[in-house]
Amino acid sequence: MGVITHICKAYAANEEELKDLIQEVTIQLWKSHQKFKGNSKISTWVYRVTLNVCLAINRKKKIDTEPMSSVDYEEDTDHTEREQIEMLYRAIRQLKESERAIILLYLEKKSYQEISEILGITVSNVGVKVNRLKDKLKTMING
Amino acid sequence: MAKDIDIIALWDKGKQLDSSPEIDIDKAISSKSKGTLYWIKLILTIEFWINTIALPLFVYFLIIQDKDYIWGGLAVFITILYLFYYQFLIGQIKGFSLEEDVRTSLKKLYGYLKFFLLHYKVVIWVSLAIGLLKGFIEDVPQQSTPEQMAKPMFWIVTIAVSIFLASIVGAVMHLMVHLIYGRKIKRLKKLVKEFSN
Repeated sequence: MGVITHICKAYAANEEELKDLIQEVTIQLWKSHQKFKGNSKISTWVYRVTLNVCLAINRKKKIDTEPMSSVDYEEDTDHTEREQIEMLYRAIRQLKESERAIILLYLEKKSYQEISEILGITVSNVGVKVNRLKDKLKTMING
Repeated sequence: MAKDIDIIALWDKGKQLDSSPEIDIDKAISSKSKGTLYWIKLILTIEFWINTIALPLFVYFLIIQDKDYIWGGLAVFITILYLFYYQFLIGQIKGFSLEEDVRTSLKKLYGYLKFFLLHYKVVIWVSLAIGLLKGFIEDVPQQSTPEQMAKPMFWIVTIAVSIFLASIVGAVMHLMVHLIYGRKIKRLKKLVKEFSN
């Protein structure tokens, strides 16, 4: 559930919409699990369904770039690190929806091949976009 | 050059600290889908049943009772065409799979939405065209004197005003349909383009 929540979080406008997105992904996964033929990895299938739902669902509200307040920082969490995590979330939410999909999969440590299979774009295209987005994110975090 | 930050490590750290509310899976699975396709399927199913009920009514009232074979026949023909259209699109949507790669799924969804929108446009403009035609053939001769109808200017003004008013009605309805679905279609088109580049 954690992976789904993190991807949905990048697309939901607020907590309520986040719950709706997770619920929709859960329904779609449940409905299609029997049809899963095993032609791809289970993780590829889960990411495909999750991203398809997040990108296809009809949202009425514009996404707020502020991250949702569901990160509980421990006392000893480094202040700079805390800021950087929030900046990362904020930067991801500022990206285009298609860019968000690519960078989320990269952050989830998916290989270029797997990202290509999930999104339906070529491996070389994934490589180019990931590099560009990594730099873009780092620039945004550094201000 | 951006300062080197390990964004993957940051992402992982953020995940560890996350306290998003847990979702009740049993409750989620027993809930109804709120996706776009669910709503389109629902609207199409309602329209399918309205047309199914309308068909025998057209046959009885227009063809059997009024013996209006031309307009009744046209109404029956269009209704039957739409019944096939609804069945086809409902079937396509039922068979839609979210397991395909994102670009393919979005492309398909965009195609379905465009095809769905098309039927509203056809209904709007075909209804207006039939209404105009019926008005010129049946209503104008009934409500005008032979002297009026003998003047070419009368027909020019009648046709121009009718087409102008029908175009305004059509444009307003067209705009309303676009306000409801246009934004979604545009967004999907943009997404497909982004993934294709």
